[in-house]
Amino acid sequence: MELSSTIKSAVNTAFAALGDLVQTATLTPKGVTGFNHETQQVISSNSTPVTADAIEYNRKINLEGQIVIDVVLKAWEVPNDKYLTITLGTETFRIAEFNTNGYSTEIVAKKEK
Amino acid sequence: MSNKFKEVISDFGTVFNVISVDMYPDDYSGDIANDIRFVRYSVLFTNAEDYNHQRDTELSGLLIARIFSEKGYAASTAYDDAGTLDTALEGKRLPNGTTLGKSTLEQPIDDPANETLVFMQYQIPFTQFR
Repeated sequence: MELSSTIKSAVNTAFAALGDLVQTATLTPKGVTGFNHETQQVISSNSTPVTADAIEYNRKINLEGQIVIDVVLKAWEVPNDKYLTITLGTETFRIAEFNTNGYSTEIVAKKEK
Repeated sequence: MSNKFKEVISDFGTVFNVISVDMYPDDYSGDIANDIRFVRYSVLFTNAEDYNHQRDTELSGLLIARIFSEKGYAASTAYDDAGTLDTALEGKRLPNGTTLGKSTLEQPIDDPANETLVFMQYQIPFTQFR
């Protein structure tokens, strides 16, 4: 088996092992393609939300009182893009950081408490 | 009463929508059409004063435009873009009454967010009587 397949398989195994800790996340692409200066509005394109398996492995409230979560997802389920929000259950967070190595994608997302 | 800040921004918008330079507000975070040649701008409102026994107001400030170019190409692209901006703005009176003064341009410096780019800061003062 090729190394990349081995790693991908290991990621799948890890997610499977975590059972009901795995949630379905919905990510909304930013979909902003330009700016109209006269109306002061961004020019948006219709972008389709992305759903992916996600594990929230850390949650904190920082000194500004924002809720900050760290989430890991299967990278191949989340195409590289500029995303605006991630929704887990009934909570929607704004994405502050997006890191990927091609196998797992880590997202830091925030919302005001 | 109309929004004095938006009137000034809208005045600049009428120019930015027609010039051949890719302009984006400073806080814009969407796609950038040409990622080695674009401009980010912000408007700094620096002073407001009453005149004519508080019947008129003078609002003044600075338009600050950071003109980005690929490192090593500022001379061939960024100065051209600065010239295009300047032709459209310097000494002009815009539809909502924003009047522009004389511009300045700083030397290219490295973009701390993307070290493959440099930017030059173009500044031009404006005044609006209301």
